[in-house]
Amino acid sequence: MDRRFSRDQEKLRERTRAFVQKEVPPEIARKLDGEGAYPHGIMAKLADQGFWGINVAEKYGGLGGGIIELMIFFEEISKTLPVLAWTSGNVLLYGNNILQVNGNEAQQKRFLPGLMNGEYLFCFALTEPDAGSDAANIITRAEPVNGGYRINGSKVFISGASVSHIAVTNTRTASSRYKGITSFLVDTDQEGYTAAPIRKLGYKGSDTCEVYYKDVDVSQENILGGEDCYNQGWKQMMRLLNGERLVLSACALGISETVLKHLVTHVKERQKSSRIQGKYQAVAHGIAEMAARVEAGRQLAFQSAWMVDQEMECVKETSMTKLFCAETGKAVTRLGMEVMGRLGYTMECDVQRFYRDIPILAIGGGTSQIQKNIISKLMGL
Amino acid sequence: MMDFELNSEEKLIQKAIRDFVTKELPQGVVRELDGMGQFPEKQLTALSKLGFLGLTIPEAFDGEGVNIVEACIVAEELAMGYPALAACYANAVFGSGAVLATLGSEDQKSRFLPGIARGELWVALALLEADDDAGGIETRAAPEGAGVVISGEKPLVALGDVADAFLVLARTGKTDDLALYCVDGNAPGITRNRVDTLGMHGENLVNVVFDRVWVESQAILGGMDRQMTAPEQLEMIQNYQLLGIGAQALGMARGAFGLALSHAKNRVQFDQVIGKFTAIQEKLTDLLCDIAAAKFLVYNAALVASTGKKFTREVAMAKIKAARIAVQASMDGLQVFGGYGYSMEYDIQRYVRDAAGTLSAGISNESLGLKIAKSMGL
Repeated sequence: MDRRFSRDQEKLRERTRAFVQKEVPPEIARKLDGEGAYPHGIMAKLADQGFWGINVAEKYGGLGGGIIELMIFFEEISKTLPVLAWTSGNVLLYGNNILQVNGNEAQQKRFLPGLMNGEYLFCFALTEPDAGSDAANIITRAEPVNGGYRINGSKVFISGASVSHIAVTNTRTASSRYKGITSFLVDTDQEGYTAAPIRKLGYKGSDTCEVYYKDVDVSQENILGGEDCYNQGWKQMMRLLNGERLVLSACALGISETVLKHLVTHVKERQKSSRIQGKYQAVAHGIAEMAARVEAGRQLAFQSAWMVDQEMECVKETSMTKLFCAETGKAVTRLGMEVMGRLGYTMECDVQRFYRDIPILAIGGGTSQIQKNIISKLMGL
Repeated sequence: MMDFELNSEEKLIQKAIRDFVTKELPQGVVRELDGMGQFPEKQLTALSKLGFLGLTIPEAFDGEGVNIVEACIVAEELAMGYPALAACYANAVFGSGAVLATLGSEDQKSRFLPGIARGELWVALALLEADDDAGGIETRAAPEGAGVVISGEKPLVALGDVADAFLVLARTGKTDDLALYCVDGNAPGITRNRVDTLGMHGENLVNVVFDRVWVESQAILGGMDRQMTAPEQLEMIQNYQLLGIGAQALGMARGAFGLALSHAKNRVQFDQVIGKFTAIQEKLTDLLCDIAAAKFLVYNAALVASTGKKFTREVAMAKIKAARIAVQASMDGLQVFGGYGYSMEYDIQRYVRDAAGTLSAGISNESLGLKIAKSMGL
């Protein structure tokens, strides 16, 4: 079995790495985390350098990449400033990917060129105050009015909601739990749409918001995928989940790899100045064990991505990947806080930022508990 | 046979401090103080008026009489609601009160202890430097006139911003001998630079530079006719410091656990409170067991300390375990809260930030592990 990365994939990794090195050196990453503002400047540069085309079909002028290309990009970008992965999601995932997986041709033609050149940002509005892990419990409703629909309700933890142009909004359109959900492309300029950012522990600058819809009118054409997709929202979302889990896993891997790098540098320095021989064996072993887990996570992640590419059934594998990579990331950053010592507790040390960033990867995109539900169910339990 | 049941006096203290937390530290107040990152002076003054700051200070020096267990109870209960306040409190009762009551000369006791008990005088511990042990000390104390001149830098000194005095560990002369000095915070040559930290805002960390700071010979801890060597004194100081950190970590774990438990009882998903899911129950059960274990270790160390015996190994075990469970409870607590836990509007994120500091506070868990190994003859 040959699963080497293609030359183009290697080139994308190099290109992303070079971009991050040049545009997001550690001091800029620290500054952006401190300010917590949406990184419009870096997003514009990513657009200028053609990154927004990596997962757009060639017929629309994109590079035609798939899940592996996305993972490479997200892994590399998460190594320095994880929140850039989320803001990139406002183009690559909630724009490019959703439109190509679930949009109709008219919607693709209308938005993809603008997404690629950085004109549009999309956000994905599903979670509600009472519909977190239990996502099908949403109550934000869209009611038929004058040949269109009127949306009322609220959403929470919607990343990029106050800066996005389009909010892909999932609404209740019938009482059936799974067959009563419709997804709309909502223009955020429309009256009645408001979004207020939430202050968070980490991933600062993601513009994660509470969103309110008050009599927001949309037309039939705004149904994601067109009129035929009325009440098909849940099914549409299911098609996105494998990709979402793998991309989030790639984010966790990027964070883990950087933290390991920090630890190796730090321990090497301490070893040099230490008067006690052999003092660092236990620490070194702790780091080695984490490195083994991260490598296992990487193998699992790209194996699952390969299955996605081959269109094989792999819900169990992607769920295992997300569970394993997110929990490994938590363990790695926690070890990081322990090994970095007092220095690790100061804001000058990047490990504390990764420690603040990582927990959400075990929550968003299906908590670790939900992943275990899926895995055990698929095992017949 | 050890008895971990609180006696009636300890129960009274526990009730009094719980009442204080309920009354003086409502959520909004703690959130605001954490946001501002200022030394919680008002709350500490209130604690001193209730006598809590005197729990490790003899009555002869305006204290309440020494009661290590009660001081632990107070630190633990405070940390449940506001860990940084507990850290400031522990600094007073353990880091300086117990230390000076045990190791100080009569002069030093009269000079410092009454002020500490009243919450008016703060002594910061400026002990370690690059390493977790005394071997890494580069700060020097060189004889000059009727005293010594201290030069060096102490990184990340807790309460270094407000300290009226520092207890400084230095090398003496050209030998490898160590000595501890009580240094007036206003002495010429001291500069303080505050460092931003992930959490424990209020118990602020400061890099303190001592540039040719002169102190008189009698400022040596214990005075000229002291009974203990500096390494022995250092061990005692660190043991008290670790006991305070252990009690704080235990309180933080309980605080985070309490938030998670109440969320699990209230949050409904899939038509039931999430606490009905056995996966959540298991998480909370594990935490409950580990917190109980940490509690036994912390109070065992406190009881041994109360007898006047050496409690180096006991307190090392207590601190390692309590710090770990504090981190675990905060992270598991956040997981139980889900997305809400990640929002600054909820308090569990503060426990995540505060608890992470306990891993390296005082002496890191890693170095304590080495100490315990040594005590086992390894």
